[in-house]
Amino acid sequence: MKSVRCSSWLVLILLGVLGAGCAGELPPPPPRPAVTVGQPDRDALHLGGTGAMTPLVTLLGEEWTRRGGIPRILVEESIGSGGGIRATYDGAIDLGMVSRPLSTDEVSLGLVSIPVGRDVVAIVAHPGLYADGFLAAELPALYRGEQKRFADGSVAVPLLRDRSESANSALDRVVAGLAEAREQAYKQRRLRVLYNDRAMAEALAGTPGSFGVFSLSWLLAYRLPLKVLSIDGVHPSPQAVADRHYHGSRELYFVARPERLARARAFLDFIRSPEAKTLVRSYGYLPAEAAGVP
Amino acid sequence: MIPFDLTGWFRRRMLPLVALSALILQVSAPTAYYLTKRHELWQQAHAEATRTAMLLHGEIEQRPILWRYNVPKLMERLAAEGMLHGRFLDIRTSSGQVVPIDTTALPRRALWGRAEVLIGGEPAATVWVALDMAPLLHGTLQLAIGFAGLALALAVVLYWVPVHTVAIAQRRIKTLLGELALTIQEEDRRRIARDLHDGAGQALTAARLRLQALGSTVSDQSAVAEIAKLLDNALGEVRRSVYSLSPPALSELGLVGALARHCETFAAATGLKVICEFSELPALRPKVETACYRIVQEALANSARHANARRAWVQLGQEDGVLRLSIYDDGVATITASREGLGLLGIRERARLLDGQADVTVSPDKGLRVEVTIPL
Repeated sequence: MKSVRCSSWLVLILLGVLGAGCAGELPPPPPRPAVTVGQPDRDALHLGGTGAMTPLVTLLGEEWTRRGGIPRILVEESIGSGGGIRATYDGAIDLGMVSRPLSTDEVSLGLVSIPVGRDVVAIVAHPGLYADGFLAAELPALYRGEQKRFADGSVAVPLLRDRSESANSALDRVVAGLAEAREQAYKQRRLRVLYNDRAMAEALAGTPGSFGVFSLSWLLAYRLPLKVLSIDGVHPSPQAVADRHYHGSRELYFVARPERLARARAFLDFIRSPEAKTLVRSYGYLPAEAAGVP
Repeated sequence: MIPFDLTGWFRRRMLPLVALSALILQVSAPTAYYLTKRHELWQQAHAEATRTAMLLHGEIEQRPILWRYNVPKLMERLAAEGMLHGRFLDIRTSSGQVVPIDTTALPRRALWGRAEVLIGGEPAATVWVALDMAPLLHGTLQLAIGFAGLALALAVVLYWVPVHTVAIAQRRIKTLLGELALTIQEEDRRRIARDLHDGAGQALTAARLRLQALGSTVSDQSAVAEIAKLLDNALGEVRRSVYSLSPPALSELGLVGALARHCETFAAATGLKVICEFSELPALRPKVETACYRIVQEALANSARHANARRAWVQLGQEDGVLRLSIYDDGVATITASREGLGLLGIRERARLLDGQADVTVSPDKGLRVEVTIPL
């Protein structure tokens, strides 16, 4: 009887020790069903997505409000093109701001695309950089780390945007070999990577010798003290893009759920208006050609 | 003799004890390793969930509504910094919806850590981090295999050393008991010899002297002579018995001398020619000397009694710390190995009690051969 009691205690102690050692969290519960489409905000039109469109849409929204437009425009912090598409599909926002072509999966979501204009992408540098431009052949060597200093002896600090940034592929059309050099830099983790336009702007402004891919419209819209560099003697500008002298640009457009278009129609009509197109040009963008809004 | 098998008894009690010890050793270390490492792994999972939750906290504060759509970018950043390597991440909104992110595949054996993101005291999101337990299980298995080998080796040592020691002790006890038995036996023989000599021998001698004194007064001299002859025979018998029971030559002449005299006497008494070949011997224990003497006595007696031998050989010598005694004859043995008498059994027993061995070979064409080895 005594031995049975002792054995019971021993088993209990062992179970206690095992229990303590086997502590851990339960796995997450099974996922809930897919997100149901959110209800639109009666008082405001919510826009979100790529940071490339943030200055444009913010300034257009301010102009829209100044003109007494209803509903008011609310531009959310950048969540990237992909985030904007997904949030639009979920009904979390009314219009998604996108700066890259939709993937096959995204096309299958059935969203409506509305072209807005083109954003010019350039190599932008710290204002103190000695040079006004690069040869296209120089850039891959700088990103690969083969060239570490500029001609004046100052240290070159290439900065990277994240892999999914659409400005990267826009500039790849201008500089041959840049994509491979960039990918090598990602893998080697040699260079600093910035994950949104605001962080990139701050890094470029605050790091002597730094340069990287950046939106020209951001520069102009927010009057950032940064230097736009020419490539092979071509200075990036909306006009250069329009004249097809410079190919570093990306298409900007809204995406929307079809049933949300009606409440956004007034604002979209405003964007198509000649006054808005003038404003778009003044912010450093190229307005979309007259394209019908569904 | 030991009344029971001490080594077997000890072995039976040691076996479960050693098996239990080996089992405890084999199980305890891998279990402790597993529990400790698992706890560390869980703490790591929890710490990583907390770190991700802190990063999410900043994201949610910046984008209270749309944060979950920016999480993939945040994860890309974490992945680029190597913080997601080998981790499975699951992020849920406060309403339980999954935030879609690209992450490492969920390991088959996962250990989960969890952390909540609180905004204004309210849960806004929950982060789960799953770490792979396969390396831990693999490590534990390797340790268990290693400790199984160690436990086995230890069990062999724990079992073999005491059992071997007890076996040695048992053999020593057996030897001591054998020697004690021999001592007692010899003591008994000496006492009987003394009693015969002092009792029956003295009485017969007194009777013989008395008869001699009465001889002249008795008319029937032939009867007196007959009684005197009977008394002389009885006295001679008593003397032989006394000599046989406690050979005085052994203490007086030593083993070699005593054997030589015995062989001589035996040859004279039986007509068997006995050839002795003795080499130089170290000082022997009295028990060994007595045993050798008795073995030679018994073997020669057998040769004379059963083998119809004409010659017998007695050889005594030592080699490599072992005393070797050989007695053989040229006779035709009439006994078989299965029908050995008490004498031959006694030879074996005497050798065995001294940790030695006696090989008795009886063959019809080669006579009797006794080979005795006794460790010195």
